[in-house]
Amino acid sequence: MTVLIILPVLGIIMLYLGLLKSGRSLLPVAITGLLAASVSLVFEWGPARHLFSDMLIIDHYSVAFSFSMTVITVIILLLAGQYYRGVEFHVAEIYALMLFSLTGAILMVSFSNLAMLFIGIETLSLPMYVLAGSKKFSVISNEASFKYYLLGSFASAVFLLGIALVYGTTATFNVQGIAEFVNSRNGVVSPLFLAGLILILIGMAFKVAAIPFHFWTPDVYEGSPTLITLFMATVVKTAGFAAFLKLFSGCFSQLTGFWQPTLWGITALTLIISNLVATRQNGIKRMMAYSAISHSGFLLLAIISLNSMSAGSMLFYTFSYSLASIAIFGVLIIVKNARGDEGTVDSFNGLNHSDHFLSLVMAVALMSLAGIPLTAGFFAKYFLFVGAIKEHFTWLVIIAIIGALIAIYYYFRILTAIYFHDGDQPELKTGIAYKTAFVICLIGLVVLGIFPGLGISIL
Amino acid sequence: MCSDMVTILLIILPLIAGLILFFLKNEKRVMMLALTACLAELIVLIYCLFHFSPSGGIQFAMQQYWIYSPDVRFSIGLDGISITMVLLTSLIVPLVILTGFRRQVRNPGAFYGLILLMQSAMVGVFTSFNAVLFYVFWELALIPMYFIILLWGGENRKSITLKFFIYTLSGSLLMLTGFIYIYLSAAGSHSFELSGFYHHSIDRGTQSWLFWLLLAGFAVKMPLFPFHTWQPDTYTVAPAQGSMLLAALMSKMGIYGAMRWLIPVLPAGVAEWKNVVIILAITGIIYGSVIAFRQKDMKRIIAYSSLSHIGLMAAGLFSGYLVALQGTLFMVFAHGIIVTGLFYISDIIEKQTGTRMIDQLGGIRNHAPVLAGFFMIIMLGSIGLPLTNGFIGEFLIFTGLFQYKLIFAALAGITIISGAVYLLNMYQKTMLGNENKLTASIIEIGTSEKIVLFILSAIIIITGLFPQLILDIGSSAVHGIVELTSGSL
Repeated sequence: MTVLIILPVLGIIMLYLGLLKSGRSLLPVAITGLLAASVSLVFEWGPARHLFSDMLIIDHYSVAFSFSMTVITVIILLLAGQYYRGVEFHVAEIYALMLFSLTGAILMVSFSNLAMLFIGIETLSLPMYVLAGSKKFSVISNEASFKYYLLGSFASAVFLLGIALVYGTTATFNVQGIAEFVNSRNGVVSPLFLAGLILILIGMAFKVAAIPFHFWTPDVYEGSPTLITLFMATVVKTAGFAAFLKLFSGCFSQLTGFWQPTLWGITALTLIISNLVATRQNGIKRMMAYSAISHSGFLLLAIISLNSMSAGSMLFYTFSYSLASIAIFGVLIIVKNARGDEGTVDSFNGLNHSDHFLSLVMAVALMSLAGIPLTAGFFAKYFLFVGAIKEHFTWLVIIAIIGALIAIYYYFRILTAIYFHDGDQPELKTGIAYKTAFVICLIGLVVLGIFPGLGISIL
Repeated sequence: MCSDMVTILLIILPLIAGLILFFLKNEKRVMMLALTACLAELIVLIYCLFHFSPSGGIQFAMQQYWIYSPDVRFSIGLDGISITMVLLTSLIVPLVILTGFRRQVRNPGAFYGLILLMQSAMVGVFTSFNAVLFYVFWELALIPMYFIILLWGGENRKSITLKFFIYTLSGSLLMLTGFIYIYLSAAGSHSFELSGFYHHSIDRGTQSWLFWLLLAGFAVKMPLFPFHTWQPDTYTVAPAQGSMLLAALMSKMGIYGAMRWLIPVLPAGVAEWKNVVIILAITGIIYGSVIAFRQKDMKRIIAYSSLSHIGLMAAGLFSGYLVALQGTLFMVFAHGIIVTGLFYISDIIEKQTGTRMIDQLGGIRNHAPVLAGFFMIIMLGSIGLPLTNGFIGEFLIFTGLFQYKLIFAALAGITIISGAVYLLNMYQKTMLGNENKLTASIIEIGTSEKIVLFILSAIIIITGLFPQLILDIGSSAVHGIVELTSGSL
């Protein structure tokens, strides 16, 4: 898998370019490298292959998710140029860390061995801990980094203990091996294995920020630099969920009777509480943090239903969610910079009077998050619902619908602020890179909303 | 004209015109283009009506794959019920646009653009024969309405529109859940097609709760008591044209949806719950009439009277008798025309005097006899006087209810008839009596107002004298629906 070589090398090139103080060439090189990586991924498409003595498996699932995350990273980097201009001195390190993190994300979606999954999670997380605190002189950014690090490593430890317990009973780290072990016992396994399974579930629930393991999310999202928050909400979330699904469909699909009730409760809590709390938020970043948790709730529907549709609908959902997030955070960056404030709902007052394009971008992105038809978000939710109802989780779908309705309230609060409140907006500067990123997001959201078959039929 | 493209033309024509309108600034040009598009739509529809055979099932049909897996198809067409609804839509929308003549709406391009987008979505609702497609159009019709009320509405519109939006969306999402469940239970290969929905093997117990999921979507839209709490506020706060569209067309989406997507799809569920629904509907009739009687604001009176009439349609619909269903379809058409006229007249009075409170008005007939005359015809239609189209629908529904259960017919009948009191009261307080400061300066309506009111009154009388014109179009399709349900009723 060439991409696993391209990305770390690209990261190291970034570091050297930083040493050589050639700040200007950073972004073009990074973006070219990532595009090369995505092209190389296209050529990986084909029958499943096992790599590195069966540590990794390269199949349609891993290639599709890797491709999606690489593309999302490219669009995020389009926003990076203007974001870091004149603010940050060590930009090269930031880009390098993002690339290393992406490498971890790709390992997470391609593992076929639990040890590899753990390495993937750590490769993803360690750079993220640093990036969360990359606004070096901001106390709140430092706090975010510290909190993320402490809680994140705690969750990793729990996860690792779970793996150890599973290994203790099955004597293998291999996904296939664990599944065969469970099969050979007809789904009756020792309590040790089940305890391990629960610990793994908790570890994953922490990584994807499901309630009640979500407490780090609002603070970390709020404290981290906005661009890093965006990276967390998109690439990190996609990787977490793809790994979650791969792990549970690969190892534990025979034990659904055991873990489904637990996950049912987690999903229901996540859907209701996150949306309720989000309605009380005024800061956009905190609101988006709770909104991210609520979308985790929707994505958990794909894991709990665990059928042939899960992978496709998860890919569709994470991709359309990422596009919408990029649009919203991108506009937030512009508005925050121009106004010099923290970015609350009121910061968007009267945006439509000063900039129609940005308002349109926000409107489409918010409608997609809310799941209004003809945006990608509608079909993303629709596919998840079909999958869940197929497995008779009708009640969970009704809870999800209630969550979605509460969500309308706070998404439309922003929308009303943009279109119907009066307010003074300073001159907003939208660079060409931002425009490109927004246009890509808009086209993506609308095209996937009208022709959802393009996305759903991949997996 | 290639016959399978006609239906899509009906959807696309207002869509394209609506999108172009967004870029126009000049009010005159906007009106011209909007009216031209509506007329073109009407001409296409008349072409359809001429080539339409009422007993021929779904015609002008088109089916394309939209998503392969899970199987969703873009399938549209026209049958007797659809074409009646599309006819109502294409008659109301140009009239609604005409009512804006010389009104100087703020940002006219966007306003009329949204109206046409809504028309396009609404025609989509009435012509789609696939559940997901139906749902998508159903939601799309809501969004322009949301913006119309929010941008051009009256006081306190922000919280009211949010309530309206969340109410209707919650209903429709529950409906979507129901659709997905039925899809997964459809016999053989799963299908979202209406024909697949008619042949599923869902047992009685499941149908019983599934019924409420689907009803939630339709009942909120109608609105059926007790899902109506969004309605009076929204009708009142909306701009006049918005109220007309809401009352004349959007509420009819609920009736139409229940007729096509609920009653024949879940016959066992309907059989189990229809008495409950009819009791709710009759409660709505009584409630609407009583509250309307206590109101002073003309728009609120019309809103509550509309609630009461919708209740009657719902009662007729769920009685399951052929004659009542035909009456419902006819009344959907008739009420659409009448309520547009009522809202328009209240708007004319408000524009001239600055108030809608009937206490502060009086003696308008002295200055505007033509307006008073048209008001009389439209009001009599609403009361359901013989020779108006309001009578035909009510009469047919009563006949059906009578056959079903005497007590229902009696309750509904007495209320609707005594409900005439509040409309007569409204007429008397505004048109007759002594004039006052506000009404002394009122002047007779102009040509454009006369044209709109004349067309409305003419339709009321013509279809009242010759109801077969409308009844014949839909009768065979309605018959088909009754046949589908007769097995388990």
